[in-house]
Formats: sequence, structure tokens, C-alpha cells
Amino acid sequence: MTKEVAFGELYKTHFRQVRGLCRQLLGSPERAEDAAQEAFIRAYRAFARYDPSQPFGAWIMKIARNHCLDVLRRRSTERALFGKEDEEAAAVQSPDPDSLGLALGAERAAAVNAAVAKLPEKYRVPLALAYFADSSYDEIAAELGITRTHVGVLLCRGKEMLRKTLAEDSP
Amino acid sequence: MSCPSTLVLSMFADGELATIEAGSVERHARGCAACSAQIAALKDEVLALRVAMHSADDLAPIPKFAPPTRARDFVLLVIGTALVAGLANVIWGALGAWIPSEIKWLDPLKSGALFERAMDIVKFVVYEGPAMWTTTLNVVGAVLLIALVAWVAGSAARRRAFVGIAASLLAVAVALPSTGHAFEIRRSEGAVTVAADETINDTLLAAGQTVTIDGTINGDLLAFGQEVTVRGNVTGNLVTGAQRVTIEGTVGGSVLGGAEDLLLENARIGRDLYGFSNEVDIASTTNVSGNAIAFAETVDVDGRVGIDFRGFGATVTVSGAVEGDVDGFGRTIRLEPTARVGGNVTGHVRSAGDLDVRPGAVIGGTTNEQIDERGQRRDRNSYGNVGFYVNQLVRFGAAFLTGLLLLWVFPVLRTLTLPNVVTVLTSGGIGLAAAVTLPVAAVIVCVTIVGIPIGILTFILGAIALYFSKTVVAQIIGRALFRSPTGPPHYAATLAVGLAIVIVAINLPWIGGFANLVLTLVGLGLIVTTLFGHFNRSAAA
Repeated sequence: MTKEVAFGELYKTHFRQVRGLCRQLLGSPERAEDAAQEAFIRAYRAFARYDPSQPFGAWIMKIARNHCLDVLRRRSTERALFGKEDEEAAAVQSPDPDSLGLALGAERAAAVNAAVAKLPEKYRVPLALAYFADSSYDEIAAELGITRTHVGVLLCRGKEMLRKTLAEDSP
Repeated sequence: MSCPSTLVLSMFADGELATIEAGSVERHARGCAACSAQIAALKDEVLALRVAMHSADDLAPIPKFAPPTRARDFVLLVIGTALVAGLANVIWGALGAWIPSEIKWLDPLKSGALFERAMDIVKFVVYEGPAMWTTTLNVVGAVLLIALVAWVAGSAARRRAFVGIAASLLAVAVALPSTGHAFEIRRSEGAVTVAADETINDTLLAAGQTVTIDGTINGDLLAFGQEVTVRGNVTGNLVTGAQRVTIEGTVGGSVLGGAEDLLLENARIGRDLYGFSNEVDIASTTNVSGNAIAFAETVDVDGRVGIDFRGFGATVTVSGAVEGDVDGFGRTIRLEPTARVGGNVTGHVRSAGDLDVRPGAVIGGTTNEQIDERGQRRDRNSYGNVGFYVNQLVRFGAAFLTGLLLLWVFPVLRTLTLPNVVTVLTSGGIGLAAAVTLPVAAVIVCVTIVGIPIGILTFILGAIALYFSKTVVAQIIGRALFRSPTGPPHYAATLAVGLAIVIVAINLPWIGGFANLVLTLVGLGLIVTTLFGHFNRSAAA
């Protein structure tokens, strides 16, 4: 099997996952499709440098993640994309015990994803990295250039907003 | 200890608290039902969130991977094309004069004979299509009649004969309201003859080794055999196909004749003459009242043509009288001193002087020599001519657009491959067989009358397949060039590159003609095998 054929197989295997990450990071299926393609094109160009002993999934996800973050950074005119940690932390509210978890039932996946897409970037990006890409707080912190506590705050606030949106939407 | 903050509980639920802090939260939660419940709920929430996020994209299809365009390929192609064109120019300039004319056919620019024939047919159909269509309809009507009669006979043999007969008669009445006469068939392994004293008041279908009509046919005559001779009188149309057709009698309507030799001597044709033949000879004693249209290697008009004469052939000679215009398409159009033309004479020839009007010929209108651009260029170095490159560009554009359409309509053609030499040879062989047998099959089908439209269709489909044969190969070449890891790029890209290479290849000096032949045959073979493979699968399904 040639290396090129191998890439084709890898593309088929990993495309959905990569596109999913891009979708969660960028909040738009259309932009996600383009970003995923771009990630694979970058991987294709760099394929000669790819070390087959490493898992391809992690490699391509990293490429996709970097690309999406680049896209977001280019788009964002604000210098502090992720806000100020102390302001965000002060805004964290205790969740209403009734809304916790209930609103996020698996059968409401479509509604959940729509709500995630509607989140401001500063909450959506850490959420996607933590719960889609399974990155640790430290990894996310390094990637976004913020502290790990800030990551925790953003996740907390993000989930809180999700709960609100879903509670409003639910009949 | 007071309850931890929401942030701390959230981080704990995510497993992201430092060990010491996590331990203290855990100890607190053991004694605090509210915090314990909140941690569990937060964990469930994150799990649900993970599941939802991962399910968002499950159903959307995976698009084709479009690898980065290899600019290098295009640059190489352009450089290659320029080099080949330049080299061709030099070689042609150096050798062109020394090449004996016998092997000039190897010149790729001379291998367009098939295209020329196709163009002739297109021109003919444009000019004469309506009239031919009427003739064809007549034939189809007659065939329908035979079929109905046969069906009636079959029905009569069974029960409910009356219903069958009534239905057939009704159908005949509806289908052919104007048909006043019936149909007679004469078939024989040997000779079919209508004697001089015999009169047939029907349309006659005669088929035999030789068909000789000395008597009178008050209707149409459809005659097929090795040799057909009409010395008698046919009041309707004559449709005939034979190795040799001789018409020495009178035909009230039109004549549609396909033969190796079509000879009209002492003939009186009431309407038009359509001759498809190796040689068409309208002898001096013959009178065609309408138009005469002839496709043949050599066409001689010695007799009289009442309206216009149009001749397609290598050599077209007029030595008789044409009341209307003379339109000649060919290498040599000659008007002998005895020629009398009432209208204009137009010669569509390859170079000046090929329309040869001998002194003494009388022409009522103007004489016009139209130089066929394609033909003219053949006689000199085409590679040094800007028009040649423009032509090739147009050719490329046309092939590309039609090719796109073809690949869009038949996606199966996008995936064809030629993995090894054996496949190439096999496809070439099948292509050769198809190229030889298709026209023969079409002619044979035409002989059975009912098959005339089918035969024409076969010709047309064959011509289309021939046209597309190189497109198919170009697509394969393009795909091979664009070998990418995730399957080929869009077929438009592979087709464009493949076609560019094919067009350069078939224009190479000396080997271009051979390349053209090979590519055409291989492509034709691929199309035929794909079609048959498809039909076989359909049949099996």
C-alpha cells in the first residue's frame, strides 16, 4: 500500500471527527467543511513529515484545531478574545439544581448543538476543546494563552449559558 | 467547611482539580447531599454534552478530498507543449519536402477523412433531411402495414379472429389513411423477376440474388439483392440497396439507392435521386427531373438533371446538363466542355484550380471556387500557422465541454482504468472490431427495410462513440497523472489535463496519426465494453 493510498484511508476514517471539531470550534457547518478540508490539505502537504508511529487522529485533530483557532484569531478584532478571568469568574452563578443536567438529555442533541453554535466564541472554543477534543485544562490553557482557572471559568459560564438557552427553548 | 463554589465543583466534575483540592471536595461531598448531587448532575451534564457534540456531524456525507492543485503538473505540461510544438515545427520544416506523398496519410492532419465524411453527412442531412424523412416515413408505413397484416393472419388462425381482423383494419385505417394500395412481397434465393408484360398494382418488396424489373410497378419498389436492374416502369419511389444497381427504366418518384456501383442509363427519374455509392454514373441518356444528390468516390453526370446537382466525392465530373445549380464537394470538380449549367457552379475544393471548368462549358450563373480551409492547410506546414493552434484550442474546448457532459451523464466513464498493457491491447482490439463491424452491421440492418432508421441510428451512435473515444482515454490519462491519495480530483480537472495531452499527442508529426488511431480504438473499445458490461449487469439484475 502506497503512502498516498494510506492517506486516502485516513481521510475517510478521520474526516467526520475533524469536521465535527471544526464545527464546534467555528459554530458553522459550512465553515467547518472548508476548515476540515483545509486541515487535510495541510496534513497532505506535511504528510512526508508525519511519523506513522504516532496516532494520525491526534495529529490531524491538532492541525484542525490550530487552523480553526487561526481562523478565529484572524476574525476577532478584540485583543482579549477570552475576556478577563476575574470578571468572568465573578459572573459565575450557582446553577439552578432543577435545570442541571436535565436540559442536556441526549435525545435533545440537535438542540444542544444549536445552542453550542450560538454561544459566544470565548465559551464555545474551550467547550469544544474540552468536551469534543478531550483536551485537558492545561492543554486548553496553553493553546488559548490563558490560565487553567480561566479555562474552568469559561467552561462553567459556557455550560451555564447553555442551560439557560435550552431552558428557554424547551416547551 | 462551607460548600465549594460552582467553579470548583465544575472543575472537580471535570477531574481537573489539583489532588489536594480534589481530596477536600470529595470529603465534603460525602457529608453534603446537595454538593454530592450537584457533582453527579454536572458529570451527567458533561457526558450528555460530549455525546451531543459528537453526534452533530454523524450523518453529513464525507466530501471528496480535493488535494492541492499541483501547479508543477501544469507548468510541465505547458513547457512540454511548447517544446513539442517547436520541435514539430523544426522537424516538419526540415523533412516535410522529402516525404513521399504515398505516406502522407501518416500526417496527423490528414487523418480527418472520417470527420470529413461525417461533415458531408451532416451537410446532406441539413439540405435534404426533410425529403429523406418523408421517404423513410413511407417505408416505415409500409412496414407497419406488413406487420399488421401478419398479425391479422396470426389472429385469424386462432379464436376471436373477427376481433383481431377488425382491430387490425381499424389500426391500418388510422395509421395509414392515405394508403390506397396494398403490398406485395417477392423473395427468392436466386432471381426475382417482374416480366415485361407483368403489371403489379401494389408496392413491391423484392429481395433476391438478382432482382430484375422489366414490367410495371404501380406503386413503390423496394428492391434488395446483389444485383438490382430496373428496366421497366415504377410509378412510385424506388428504394434499393445492392452491390450493383442499374436503372434503365422509368421511376415516377424519387430514387434512394445505396450500391457499390449505381448506374443510370436511359433512366427517367420523375423526382429526386439520392445515390450513396462508390461510383455514381448518370449516363448521357438519363433524365432526372428533380435534384440529384450523390455521395461517391467518383460521380459522373453525363445526363440531364432538372433542378440542382450536388455531388460529394473525390472526383465529381459534370459533362451533361444541369438546369439549376451545381454544388460540388471534393478534391476535383470538373466541368467538361459539353457541360451545360443553368445556375451557379460552386466548387468546395481544397486548393485553387481544383474546380476545373473546361473551355466550352456553358454556365448560366456564376462560377465560384470555395477553398476548403481544412483541405488547404493540409498541403503546407500547419505547425507554423497561428490558425492551427487556434483550431486545436477550439477542438480542445469542444472536446472538453462535450466530455464534461458525457462524464456527467455517464459517471461510470469517470472510473474507467487501463491498469496494464493487456487491458490496453484488449480494448484496442475490441475497438478495432467495433470500428469495423458497426458500419457493416448498420448496412445489414438497413437492408431489412424496417432497420433503415435503426441503421441510421447505429451510424449516428457509432459516430458519437468515435468522437468520444479519445475523451474517455483522456480522462484516464488525466486520472493517472493526478494520482492523489484520496482518489482523483474533480473529473473536470483530470479531463482538461488528459485532453490537452491527447491533443498534443495526436498532433505530433508522423506518429500523431498512429497515436490518433490507437487512442481512438482503445477508447472505442472501452466504451463498447462499458456499454456491454452495463447492459449485461442490467440484464442480470
